Amino acid sequence: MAVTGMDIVNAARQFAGAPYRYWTGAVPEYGPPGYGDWQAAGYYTPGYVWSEGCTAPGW
Amino acid sequence: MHCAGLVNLARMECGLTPIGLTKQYGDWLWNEGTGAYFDTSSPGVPGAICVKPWDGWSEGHVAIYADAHTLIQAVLNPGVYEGEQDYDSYNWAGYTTYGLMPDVDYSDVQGWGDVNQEATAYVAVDAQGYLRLNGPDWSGGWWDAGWKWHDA
Repeated sequence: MAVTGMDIVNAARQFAGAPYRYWTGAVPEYGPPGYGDWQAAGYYTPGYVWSEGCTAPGW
Repeated sequence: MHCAGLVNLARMECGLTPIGLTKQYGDWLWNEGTGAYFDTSSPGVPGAICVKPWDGWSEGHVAIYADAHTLIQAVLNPGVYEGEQDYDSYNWAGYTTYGLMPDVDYSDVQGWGDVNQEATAYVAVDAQGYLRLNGPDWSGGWWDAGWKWHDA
């Protein structure tokens, strides 16, 4: 089924209240649950993990 | 998240691929033929985006239309929120491009801005003393559609 304009709006609304983070220069990466668990993923929906930079585990 | 991150995540929620950063969004609209020069007086449609591509010098920005002029966007403060009007946002973001995302179906909202013109429910006086039709800031008082004055 085609994605509609309102689907996009409603999807974006789910993130209302999430804090701003600067883009740090890394190309965003997306992966399955568990990938990059060391990042603060609290505002992202299950299934997506967001790489905000070059931080390594243990930093 | 940052501005383009919000658009990427909204697209991914819908099963679409993330496009990238502001420059990629701007290029994408123009390359696919859905880009147009941004015009504060033209109403948008829900799910469309407005972009100021990063040009190598000044910060870019991208936001999603929730209705004719209201945007949902990620900004430094307060983060992700819905409510700023595109003509207000333009004052700081400097959008150059408006467009429909090529892989999204807007058939249910095509012409939305033409047939859903904002009715004048009230005229607000904002903090700077400017009149705003249906403006979000009525700290200077407002007239309702019956043209009765109200103190803020």
